[in-house]
Amino acid sequence: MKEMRKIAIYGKGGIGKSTTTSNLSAALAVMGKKVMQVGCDPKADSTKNLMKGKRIPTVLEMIKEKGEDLELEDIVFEGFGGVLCVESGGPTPGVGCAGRGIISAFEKLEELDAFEKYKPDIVIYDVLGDVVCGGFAMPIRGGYAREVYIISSGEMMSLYAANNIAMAIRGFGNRGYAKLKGLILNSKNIENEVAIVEEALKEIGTEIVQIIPRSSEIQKAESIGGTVFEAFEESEMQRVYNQLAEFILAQEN
Amino acid sequence: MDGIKMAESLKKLRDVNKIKDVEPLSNALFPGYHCPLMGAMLTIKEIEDAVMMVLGPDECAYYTKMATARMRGMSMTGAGGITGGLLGNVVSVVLDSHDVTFGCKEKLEEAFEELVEEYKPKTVFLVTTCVVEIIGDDIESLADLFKEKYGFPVEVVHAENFKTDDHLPGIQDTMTVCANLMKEQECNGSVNILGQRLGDFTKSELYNILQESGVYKGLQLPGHCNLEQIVKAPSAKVNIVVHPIGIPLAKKMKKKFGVPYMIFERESKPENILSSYEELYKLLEKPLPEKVKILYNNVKEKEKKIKSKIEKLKYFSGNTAFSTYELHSYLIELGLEPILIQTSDIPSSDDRDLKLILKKSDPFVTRAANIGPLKYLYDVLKPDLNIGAGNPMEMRKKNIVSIVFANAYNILGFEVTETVLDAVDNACSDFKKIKGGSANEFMSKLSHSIK
Repeated sequence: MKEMRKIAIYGKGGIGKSTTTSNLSAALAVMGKKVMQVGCDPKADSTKNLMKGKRIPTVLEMIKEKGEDLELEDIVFEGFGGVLCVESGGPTPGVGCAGRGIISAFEKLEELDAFEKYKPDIVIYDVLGDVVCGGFAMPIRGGYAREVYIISSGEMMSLYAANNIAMAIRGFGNRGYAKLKGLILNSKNIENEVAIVEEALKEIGTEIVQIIPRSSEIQKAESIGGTVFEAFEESEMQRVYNQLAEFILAQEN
Repeated sequence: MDGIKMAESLKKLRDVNKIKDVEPLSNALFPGYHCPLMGAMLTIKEIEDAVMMVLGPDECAYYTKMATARMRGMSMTGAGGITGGLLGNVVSVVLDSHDVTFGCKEKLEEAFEELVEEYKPKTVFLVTTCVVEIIGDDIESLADLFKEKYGFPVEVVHAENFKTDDHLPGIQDTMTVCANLMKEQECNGSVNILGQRLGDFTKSELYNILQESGVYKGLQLPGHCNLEQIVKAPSAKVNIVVHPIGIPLAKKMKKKFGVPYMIFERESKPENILSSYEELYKLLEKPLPEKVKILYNNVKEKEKKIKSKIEKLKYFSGNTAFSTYELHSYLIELGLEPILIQTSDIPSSDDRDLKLILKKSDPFVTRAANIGPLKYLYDVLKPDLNIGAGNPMEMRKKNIVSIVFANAYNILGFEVTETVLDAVDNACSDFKKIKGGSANEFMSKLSHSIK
């Protein structure tokens, strides 16, 4: 039996992680893979485009509501293409500790044996990358994700965030943490964007694995609460995400 | 406090499904349940060759040091002369705000260097506290680094209080990580005792019966032991779990080493105890000792005699050393009636003993034994007996007979039934005297003279 692939996707807030992740999940699902997408952002909007624009109850909300009676059916929802959607959730801005919330959500999924029950081929964690504290580093340690991809554009702020995330991965490298496998360039059509990113990557220590061009297709799809795979019969962006999916599948675990 | 209002807020056992549904008599508890850090400390301080390192803020370190200082040389069983590594002392790594912000790796590295240079430990139990768990520092990975660097076991016990309101998880988790220290062994026919956290197991009937059948005790956890005993624990034929805190370790040892386990809790019903002995000796692949059958028959005889004398007395119940709901189902069988049970858990609806209790009664339940406010219910619910800790002066005023099972943690087997039967018999006699219902010499003389 093939080993389950576990991938974490990090990036600065607003860079397009959730869009990229949900379209990637959809691509993999259309290819016949069983995918589980776990949103690790307190905003809990990672999987919206797989759930027809609807927000699903988060793990932390349901822990509070149901306590020990919580079951997997309360927190795992089937979306487009059979993608299993989970949102960790977290506190509203200004209160509590979102990082601690991620830890609690992961502990609950482990306690409920989520992976053993659903046996996905691939688990993708969509993780907020601005603040990689102990909690937000959970997906890359403890045997959760084995591979990390960072999403960035050519904008300086998102490259700084990418470097920050790469530092965390490097810092924990000798503890058996996940490995950085590449950077996904989410274009903002900045002049010489690819060159800028490639230059930054010399310091970050990885390569561009996929360029995702700006396209109105993505916004159109999101406006109907879906991915490009749901919104269109065929599209250029489907080809791009399929390429990314194929690249990921081709990597050894 | 208003006893009537308190009583009106109580729920019935039939109406609750889980402990969350059950309210305590008051939010402030006395004596309270302590923190898992205390549980970890109680367990580690009895392991020779083991050093406990507390990782947390000042107060957590102070609390642990004070507790170990007060209990220095004393075992949980009450035996003296017991001490763990560093003569029972604990070392601590105190975190300041800088460490909370930036993580404790640097400080912990320095602390380990110092610890190794000064004390040359053989094993370290690194016990985390709330702050460390909230910030999510990966202490397990750091422990692995230290293991590799220094060549001795470093086991992490997560003792965050915010996940539990009890010290028992601290004992349980410390016991469970000990499985990481164990190594594959050849079976030597012994038994390990898991979960005897108070009292002296060597004074119990079970211990004596095992000894008489040539079955020796290997590891006892929690309890005074050394690293070698822990390492060799998988040589046991059977793990005997005498309290649920031992179950996770037993399961881990079954999975890792194939050592079977069985549960032999402090139960009261003769049939249940006999069943436990039968299961144990089946796993030991030995014939059931004749003595077990004799003891069973003896207590059944005693039970018959005492049952015939017992009146339907009503009781309150708090913590005892015995298996809670099994005890209540037995007391009901003997003829008593529970009207209030103070409990820290509610069994699942298919629990054998819960079903038996609800067939014949439906007591009130309150969360956690809380002897402070309990007295306000004496006049309202009017129990005849109080089982477990209570307020003796208040009970005396209200003519409530107290049943306290002294020595309870030293007994296991049919002696539990004996103890329960004797206690109930004595309590019933006392109750009759209090109510003036039992004949005595003076009254006999008086009644003669009146005639």
